[in-house]
Amino acid sequence: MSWYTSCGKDGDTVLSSRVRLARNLSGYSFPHHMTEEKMIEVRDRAVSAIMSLPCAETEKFVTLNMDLLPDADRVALVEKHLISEDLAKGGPGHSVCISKDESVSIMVNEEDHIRIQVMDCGFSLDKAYRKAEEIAVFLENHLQIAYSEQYGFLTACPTNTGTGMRASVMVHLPALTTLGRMQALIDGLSQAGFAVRGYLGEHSQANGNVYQMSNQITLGISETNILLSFKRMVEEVLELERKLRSELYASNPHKIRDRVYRSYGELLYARMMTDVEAMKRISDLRLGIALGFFEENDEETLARLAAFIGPAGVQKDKGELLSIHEQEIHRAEMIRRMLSQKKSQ
Amino acid sequence: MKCQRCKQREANVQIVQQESGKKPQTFMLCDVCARELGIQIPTFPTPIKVNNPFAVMGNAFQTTFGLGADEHQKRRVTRCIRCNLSFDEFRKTGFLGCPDCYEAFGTQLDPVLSRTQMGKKHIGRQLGVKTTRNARKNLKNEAEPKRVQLSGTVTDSDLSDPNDNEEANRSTETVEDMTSKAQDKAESKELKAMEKSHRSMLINQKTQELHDAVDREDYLTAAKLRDEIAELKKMGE
Repeated sequence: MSWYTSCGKDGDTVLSSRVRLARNLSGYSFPHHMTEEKMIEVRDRAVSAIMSLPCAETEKFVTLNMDLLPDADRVALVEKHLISEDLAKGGPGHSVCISKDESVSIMVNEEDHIRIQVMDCGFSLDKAYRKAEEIAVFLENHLQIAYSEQYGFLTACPTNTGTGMRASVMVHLPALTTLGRMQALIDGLSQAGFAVRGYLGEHSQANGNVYQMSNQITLGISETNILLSFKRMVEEVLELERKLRSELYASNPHKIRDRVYRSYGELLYARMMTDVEAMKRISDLRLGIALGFFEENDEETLARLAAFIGPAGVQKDKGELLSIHEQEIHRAEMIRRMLSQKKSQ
Repeated sequence: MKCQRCKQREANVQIVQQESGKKPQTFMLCDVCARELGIQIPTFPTPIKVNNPFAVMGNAFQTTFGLGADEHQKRRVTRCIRCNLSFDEFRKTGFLGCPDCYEAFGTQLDPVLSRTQMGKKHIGRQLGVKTTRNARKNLKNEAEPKRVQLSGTVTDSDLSDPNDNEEANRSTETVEDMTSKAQDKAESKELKAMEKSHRSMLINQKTQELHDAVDREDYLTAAKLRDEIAELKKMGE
């Protein structure tokens, strides 16, 4: 099962964890300042090193070139958080290597030549970091990586230089959002060197009360300390969210129950649904599960739902291009099917 | 005061001319005349809306006409020897051109790095070296990372990480352990299907390139492409 359809540690609040390490090849310009020819040269060198990584069969990499990938596939990869929107827009020379179990995705010629991303379900940053480091060390020993004693691993944007590391978690914060505490939290965290963004990363809106939190500082701090300070911060946010959830419930239990069961009803019986609404309903159901309304633990079904009901996911499921109207109809159908499958099990 | 040259428009540029051994002379001109005389007037760039502190750092260097203009001019022409990116171009986009730019623009970058990062010196993992258990233990010697206090209810004891020791033990886990665990994970069917159709597209692309290579009698490239195509076809079997 993929990380994005599973439920891990602290699954009531943390959907997934990710560690990204940026690396560049020395002797070449950064991707945005490079000719297509050179870009293909860098890609070929990077990909051949990545393909020679020693790993188990299920972790072997699949290489996909953006210029050969149909639009639907690219959007599907973005919706599954395996590639960024920027990479999806790329032409010749832009590629991604994805491990067969989809836990590792290495973007080639995105903002940097190489961006190693390791994902895991739940709150699991140490495990993700260890894996990312293992891959980075191998590549550093098999490629000429741009590195300086002063600035560490050199990146296209100086905001990433040093460790080139970005640790992030996808968190579900319905109570903080409902109580209007998010903006203050975002401001406070940004002062402390952490960023909070929407569901699909940079520049995106929060969808279904899901936020992405990440470290901002990469220079003058070690990888281990980035992880430590980031984990502390996330744990504090989770504690606060849990506290507010029980307060929210205690203040008006009927209202919360009504909200959760209404959303459940909508998901079970609706005949048309937009992706924004679906994410909202799923968020309510997640909250219901966390508050113990349901006997069964259905978080994995919800994770699978959230991963596949985006516009690309719906069209892939149907196997054809759909208008927005048709997507809404098919999305409702998919949700009913996935929820009833779970019920009958 | 009217411009001393055209005597029509309002003067808004003051030029102080200083020749050695002479008294400084002051002229009052309008901006139109000043431009016609070839005097450069620095303009304020419109702020760029990019989520990157380096893209707007240029504003820090903007000065009024006169003071600091020479310095500004010098920065404008600073270029990276390897990729020829100018500091001005970097300021506009927030992206450096190549790894050598860090050397070329070091003195300009350092103040901003000190402000936006935790200092300007890398203290993380070295190139090609694994994080050791010692490095984890030495954590306390390092500068304490910035801490955030979200609510009054969280105490210091809440912050200490009970998993610290456990974590250090786990870090001895070998690569073999990890790979054996990985066996439990399933391969993604969607990814497999995606790769299959991608592979046939890649074969088509390379076949086309092969024909082109043969047409221009570049047999070395053609042979390389032929092998790559054979390899791709083998993978699909």
